[in-house]
Amino acid sequence: MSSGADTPSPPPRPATPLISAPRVIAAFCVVAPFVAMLWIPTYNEETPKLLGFPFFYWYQLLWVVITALLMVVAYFAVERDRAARRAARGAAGTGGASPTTPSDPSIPSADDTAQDGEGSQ
Amino acid sequence: MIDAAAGKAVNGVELGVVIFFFTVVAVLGFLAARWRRTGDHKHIHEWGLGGRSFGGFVTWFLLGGDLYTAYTFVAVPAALFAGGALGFFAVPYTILVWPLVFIFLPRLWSVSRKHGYVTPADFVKGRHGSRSLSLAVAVTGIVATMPYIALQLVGIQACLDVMGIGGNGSTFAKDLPLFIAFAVLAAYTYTSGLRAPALIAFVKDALIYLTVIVAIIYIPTRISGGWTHIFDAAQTKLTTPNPTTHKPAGSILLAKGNAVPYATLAIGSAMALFMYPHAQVGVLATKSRNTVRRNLAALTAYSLMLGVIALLSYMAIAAGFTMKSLNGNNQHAVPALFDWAFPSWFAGVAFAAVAIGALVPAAIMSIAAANLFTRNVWVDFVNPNATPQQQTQVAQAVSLVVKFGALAFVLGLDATSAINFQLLGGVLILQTFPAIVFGLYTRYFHRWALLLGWAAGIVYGAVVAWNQSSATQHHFAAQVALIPWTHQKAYIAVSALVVNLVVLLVTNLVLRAAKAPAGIDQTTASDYEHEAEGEGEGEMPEITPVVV
Repeated sequence: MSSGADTPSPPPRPATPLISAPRVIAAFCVVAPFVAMLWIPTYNEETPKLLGFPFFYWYQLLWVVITALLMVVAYFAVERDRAARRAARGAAGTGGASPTTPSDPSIPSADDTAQDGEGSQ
Repeated sequence: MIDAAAGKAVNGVELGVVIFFFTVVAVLGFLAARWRRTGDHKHIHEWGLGGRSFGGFVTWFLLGGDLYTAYTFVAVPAALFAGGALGFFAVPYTILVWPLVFIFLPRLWSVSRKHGYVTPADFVKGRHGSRSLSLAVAVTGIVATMPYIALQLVGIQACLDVMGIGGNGSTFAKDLPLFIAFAVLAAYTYTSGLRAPALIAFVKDALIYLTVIVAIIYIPTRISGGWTHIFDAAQTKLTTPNPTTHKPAGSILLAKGNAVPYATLAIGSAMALFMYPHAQVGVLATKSRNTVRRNLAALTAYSLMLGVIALLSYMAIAAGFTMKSLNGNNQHAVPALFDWAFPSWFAGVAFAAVAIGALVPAAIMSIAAANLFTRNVWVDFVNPNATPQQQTQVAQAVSLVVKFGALAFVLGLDATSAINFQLLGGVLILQTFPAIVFGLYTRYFHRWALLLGWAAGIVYGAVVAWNQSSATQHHFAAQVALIPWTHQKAYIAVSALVVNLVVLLVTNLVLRAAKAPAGIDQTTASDYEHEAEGEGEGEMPEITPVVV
């Protein structure tokens, strides 16, 4: 999973790196619910109870709320990443030095990063 | 303390309230044709995707109308009522749906908007350049949707039974109310297209939220001991051995060996959901790439609601309902609980919520199946020169046919475990996952390999599902089966997907080595990032029937 790699510190006048901090954050947010929900031995328990609910039930319902928050974080992370990349492309475009164009298939999308996360399931 | 529902007189107040709401909804359904009209109503974009004009607010309701259905209110609680914790897989299922949506749906939205794709099969054809693969995806979508619509009808029927209408007498009298509800649904779907369920979804969600909030606060006060007692009573009843089989029905925790079925049911259902044509319709009808992503946090509210509704089944157990007092149909668990706990007028509101909550998705599903048939079977194989108006006419007709197919399902099959309907649909539809989702990222997989993988998955899944028998049913009795050569059970859809993937990978290597001709790809890498805003707001791509 690519998100496990360290975030490289951006070089001075960068083509935006493949792995950026926002992408790592987004990938984490997207992967976390899968790990939590599919790792059943961690929550197939009766205790601790909450308001009479066995752990099995309130823990999963809690994860609905956690997932909602993770989706908000992931949304802003991806938006930020897209904006940064667009800006970098614009800057590179005016300099005329960048080999990349918006339609260059070698530019991975934010979705590709997230896909790596899904692949780890 | 519980009267058997059998022979119960019709509750006039309940029936009156239900009829009132039903009438309101029917009127709204017909008026919807005029709502937010953006262009030529005869065009299939208009009828089938509501003019692709829906923003975040409408989308939230529309997707909710899609996803939370009689499945939520009737089928899932019935599964918990009968078997305990295993049925709670619906909660992790609806949690995992959202990250999956986050990952791939924006790409599907972009490429569909750019090329005017209306259905997943349109995309498959454009991407892989294969009419046969597109046909496979389309037919799978149509067939898999039918049991899902059937599930909605079972939900309506459960409410009608508990109200005391239907259930007795001749077959015709028994099912007459269902036919009437059904005919109204068919009529307004026909005239208004996707706008009808989108508008009605407001009413539906308002009623459902009201019902759920009242139920969750009020019903525990009717059961002494509150939640602690509810779970204790459920545990006692579920672990009591059945007098004939001498085995307990289940437990409020997962039994040994049930972790894998639980996990595979959750992930298999989650991956299957957005392969359904109706779920994609809800997404493609949005007006910007980010509408759905922006809505995800709010959409999870539906998952929370589903979890709470699932637990109503344990309340029904604590209130003393048994299979016997439900007339042997555990689908009645939640409606019967409402009938018991609420005053008649509010029970009527609750039944209306469930019934309308079943009609909305049934409408969306039949529209989606109709779009599929029209675009990917009719235009591709029968009449390539059909005008958009003719396409709309065919779609309208097919939306009727699909609903009657579903009705035949309900009347013809054992409907006592409705969740099996939905899970069976999942077994089939999940086999289209590689062609659609992998295709969004890569063309590494050869079109014929995708088709062979699909065929292997479908055959494996259908045969294994067909062979599941129980005391009451010879076929399709369960959707969880042993993984071959192991003693571990898993959701058949996931085992079948593994078969699908193995065949896909092997045949792909062979076909690539043999340099089999790849199809023509209409799309380019940037299409998957396309945003409507940057390209002129509201620009509508021409639909040109594509014949490859």
